[in-house]
Amino acid sequence: MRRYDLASTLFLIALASFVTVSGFRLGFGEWREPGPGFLAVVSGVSLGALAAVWFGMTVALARRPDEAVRRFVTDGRSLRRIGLTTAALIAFAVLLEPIGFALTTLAFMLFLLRVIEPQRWGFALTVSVVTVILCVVVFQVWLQVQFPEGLLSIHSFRRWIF
Amino acid sequence: METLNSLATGLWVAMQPVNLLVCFVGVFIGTLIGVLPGIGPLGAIALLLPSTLYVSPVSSLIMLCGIYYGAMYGGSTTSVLLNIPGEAASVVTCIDGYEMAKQGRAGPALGISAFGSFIGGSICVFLLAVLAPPLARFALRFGPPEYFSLMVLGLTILIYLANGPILKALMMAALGLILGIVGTDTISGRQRFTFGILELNDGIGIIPVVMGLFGISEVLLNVEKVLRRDVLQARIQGLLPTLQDWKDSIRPILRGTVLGFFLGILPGGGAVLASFASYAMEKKVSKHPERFGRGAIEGVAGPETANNAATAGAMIPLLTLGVPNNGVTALMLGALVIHGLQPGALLMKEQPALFWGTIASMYVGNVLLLVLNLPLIGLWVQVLRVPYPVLAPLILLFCLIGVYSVNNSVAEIWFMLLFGALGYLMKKFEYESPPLVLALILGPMFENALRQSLILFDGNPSVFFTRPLSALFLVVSALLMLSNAAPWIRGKKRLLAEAD
Repeated sequence: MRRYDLASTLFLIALASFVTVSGFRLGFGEWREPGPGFLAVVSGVSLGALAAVWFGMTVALARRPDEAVRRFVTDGRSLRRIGLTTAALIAFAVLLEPIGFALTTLAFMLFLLRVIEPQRWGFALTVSVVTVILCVVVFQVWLQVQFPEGLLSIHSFRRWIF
Repeated sequence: METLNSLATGLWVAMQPVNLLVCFVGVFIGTLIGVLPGIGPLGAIALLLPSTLYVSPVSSLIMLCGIYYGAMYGGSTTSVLLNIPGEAASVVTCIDGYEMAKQGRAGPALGISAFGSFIGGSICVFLLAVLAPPLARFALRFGPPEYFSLMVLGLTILIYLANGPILKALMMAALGLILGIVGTDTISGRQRFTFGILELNDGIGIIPVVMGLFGISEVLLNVEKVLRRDVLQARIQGLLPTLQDWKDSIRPILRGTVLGFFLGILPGGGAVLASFASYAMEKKVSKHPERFGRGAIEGVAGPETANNAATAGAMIPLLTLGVPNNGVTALMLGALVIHGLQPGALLMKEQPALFWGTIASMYVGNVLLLVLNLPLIGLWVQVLRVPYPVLAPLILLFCLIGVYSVNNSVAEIWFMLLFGALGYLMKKFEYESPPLVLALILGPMFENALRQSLILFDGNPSVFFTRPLSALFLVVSALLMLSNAAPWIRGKKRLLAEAD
């Protein structure tokens, strides 16, 4: 935990410094009339001071010989699962508008059902298709959410044909 | 008499078809969430926050309350059948509930949980209706300094509740305040920390933040270690407790009601403490304490009643003072803010339908919970058999759709993913999310109250200490911080001495 505390507090000190400097640039104002940067300075200084105290205490407390070094991720397979899940989330955000909601959702579900703990293709495909249909019915038809149509839009079909 | 009239009006609001529907949806989803280990009520409310935009503020609050107490009940199902608590308040139910299930008495254990939750919840609704109005009237005396100090108290309460070191919780509160600054300054009109991103002009939305911190990060942590669970295979029968079960349970239910309600009001109390306190109390007053841990029905009835009663108690500070005393009520505060409402002293006066409708709906919700849960226990058992690798993509998809649907904006998805990554790292680095979220929600109000107070009182910060109510809130905050920090400082001193 010691390493994590040192790294995180250093990051917070850097962030607090940036916020404090930006706060002064925005305008601290005065006590009678606080400016737009007033709370930024107060919060930035507080965050920096707290992080510095925690950093100091962590440095002062030498690591005990019996303290085990904790790993960030338990093993390679876990890391792979997290990496692939994160990649799927990023891909969803990137592809939603160009490809459209239905196709992106289908690919997203199919991908995750196969990578987190591989399900049979037939099962994964069925769950993915049913999910897409339910989402379109509930969100697009019933709740009137306007999802991007992408490749499946009527406009795209016209462009393909003509 | 006035209270009864108001409650009758509230009941009329709660019985409107749309409100009945959202109440049903709330308790159903709450129970479902409580049943599924890995998503707590906090995560559930975070996931469902966008859907509340489609209904009126009163319907939205009714649904969120339903999720809250539904989750409290649902958590008991996994405790009894799997020996895994669906959420923290049901941890203690595992002790005797699972023992009862092993002895073939899963039915009465689940049945008494449902009846206890219903009785406790119903009595507490009346206690809530009686206690809330005088407190709200009292809060009408507040000016900007009192509001500022009250928000300091609210933040202190969540910091006080933090499981980890107080300094880390304070850092997260400061970070939340900084995030709350982002956007256009309401007084000067200047852009702050928007970096030219158009979507940040109105500030960082609460929904992407909470869905990222509680939804996405939770799934990322869970996919790291794929959850496996063994559901009790025996058929569940005889849900209705016997006469002897009732004789053994009625006193624990009544004691759990009172204890849970008052512990729910207290800062730092809440459902978890209420359930543990009730179990300890029942064991202490029992003539046969040796039965506890071996399938005593009192060990299920008391805690399950207490955790449900605590949810009603927790609504008092939220509805009357606008101060949440736990993470779930902090999100409810967020929901009200999204709808442009200001929870607090004026809520009862300006929005009587919302105030009394919410209170009355809690009674309706408890009836629905009883009607819903006894026949549906078989369904919940089936739900428990859905493997997490199938559930995880569905939760993620729900987060993505939910956050996109708020403004039909992909930018919101990016914000959510950013906060999801932040939440994941925060959990790994042992920083807690609730103080950050509350500070983000309260941030703009906090800043306005602070700046207004300083402008009104000629830049004199002593105004926060010279006005009695404001001073009282600050003293209580200081005492809470000291009571939390003292054992921690003692521990650190000891470690430093050992290091020397």
